[in-house]
Amino acid sequence: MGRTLVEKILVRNSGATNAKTGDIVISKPDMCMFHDIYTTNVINKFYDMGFKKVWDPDKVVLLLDHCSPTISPTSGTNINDGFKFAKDQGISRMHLGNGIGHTMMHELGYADPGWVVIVTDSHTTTYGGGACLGTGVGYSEMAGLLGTGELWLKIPPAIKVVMEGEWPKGVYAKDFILKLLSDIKADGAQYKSLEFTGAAAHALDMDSRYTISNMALEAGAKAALFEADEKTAEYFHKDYAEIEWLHLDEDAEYEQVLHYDVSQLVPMLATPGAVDNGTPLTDWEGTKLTQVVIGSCTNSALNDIAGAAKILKGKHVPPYMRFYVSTASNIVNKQAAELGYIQTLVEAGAIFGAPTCQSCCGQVGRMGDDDVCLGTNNRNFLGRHGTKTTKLFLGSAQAAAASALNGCITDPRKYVD
Amino acid sequence: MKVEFSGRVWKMGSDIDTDIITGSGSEAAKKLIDVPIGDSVGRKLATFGLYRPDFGPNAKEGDIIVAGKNFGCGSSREFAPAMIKACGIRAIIAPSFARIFYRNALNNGIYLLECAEAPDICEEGDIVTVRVNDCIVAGGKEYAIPQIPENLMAIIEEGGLVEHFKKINEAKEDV
Repeated sequence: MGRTLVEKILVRNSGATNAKTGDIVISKPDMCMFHDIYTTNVINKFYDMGFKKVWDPDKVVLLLDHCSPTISPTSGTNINDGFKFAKDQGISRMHLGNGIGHTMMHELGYADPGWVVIVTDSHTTTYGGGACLGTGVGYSEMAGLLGTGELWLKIPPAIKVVMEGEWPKGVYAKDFILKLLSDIKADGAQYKSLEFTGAAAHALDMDSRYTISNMALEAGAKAALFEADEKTAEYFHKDYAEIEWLHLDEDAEYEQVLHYDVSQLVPMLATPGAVDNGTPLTDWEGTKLTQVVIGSCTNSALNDIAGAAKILKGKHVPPYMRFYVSTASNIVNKQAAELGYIQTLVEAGAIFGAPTCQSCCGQVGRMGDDDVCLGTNNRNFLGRHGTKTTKLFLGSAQAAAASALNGCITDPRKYVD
Repeated sequence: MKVEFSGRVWKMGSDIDTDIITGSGSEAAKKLIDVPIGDSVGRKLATFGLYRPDFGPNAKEGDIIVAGKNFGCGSSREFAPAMIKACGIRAIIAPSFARIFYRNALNNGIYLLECAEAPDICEEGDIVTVRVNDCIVAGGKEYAIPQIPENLMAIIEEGGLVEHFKKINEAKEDV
């Protein structure tokens, strides 16, 4: 009898060879990470619990990305406490302000295919783009994990998502995940593993897979795993033979199988207040915007920056447009600079920020009662980015670029050939 | 061990995310900027600050939240259940809970009880009785609730995850 991807990964990691879907296993994470919203809380709980030494300092990463630059007096406390803890515990994997955590984890080899990676953050499912089981926990659970090296996990049921067809011009990974979310809703994958396969899934580059796995969390997913292939192997500098086991078994038992023909997709927008209420962007075309954001762990990788730069080359956004752009990491910053994208975007009126979470977690770029924004983020919940009446639409980087240019929601297909 | 308690109901909607729970964007949340890290009691007035500004100032020890599906979705922030606990809430009853919130709430000593009919069984201000691992009683009727997994029941009964590990580590030192 075949196994789902999440079963394969958890069985191998825990050593519980007879475990199956629904069983609780004790996992020994390959890597864990916490960031600067929770650093002090994790450390305080760790010592309150009576632990003295982290189980394996080489399996711990501190990625300080949410509050870089700092946004309040306590941001600095989290950062300083993090560095002191790292020194006391012999943790060397420290990163301050030079990238968004969920991007750097796979860039730096901390979220490899087949691994179990635990982070104090919900969008940890991102790593599934590279067939890595990433899932989120709170600061208490992270403290317990640091002390013991173990975390109980129930093997979740899985939903197979088969993606077929050719990707139309102007339609991207973000549009796919917004469509999927609008179909299955905010609890459609609650406690489940979403597992992606099919020609259209394999046609996606790694950044696009990470976009989909990132936002799969918003359907309640515990894991969001793409089948590994040659692209995965190349990205991680491995032989495919090493990761071949991360394929979907034909005879595995899936709770549901969803089929998508991507050639039928159109640009989508999640509308203000929820992420599972997506409708075609064309329903909202012409809506005036005061702010546009390209950033966040969902869409600020090189392919997103390239897509925006191609639309905005030689053009300029209206003078009143607050067009905030930040990339996923300094690695992306350097690549984008070498390829001329940063210059293009600056000349088009982009206001660049640090390669960190920036406005996505509501720390900067906060808006007022009458603001209407299109952002590449993954959330637009009540109060997260502004007041009770602030409106934030969620879409692709290309939709953001086209809309910034015109000062209103614009179909990116007009600019893509 | 029988655990039974009754409390006043605060009725909430579906898909209540953790930004709503921590009062993002509310006037009360703006005042939190100087509250020391880890001080959940100092944050309690901002709980549901934008969605139900009457909650923080008025929630009492032993009150119960009854909500719609997918309670606690969105960000993993453990501040959400910590603030709910600081407001005195003992249990949350809903058809379903988001998974990270489920783990975090139990680790903070809050009982989470899945009940499919939750939104229809009572109104704001009613008194509801919880019999853990047995049933809930609302409007004179009994409604089934699932067993809380044994490993998690132990953690709640010890007062949360910090207390759980504290006990284990103190025992190790005594050996």
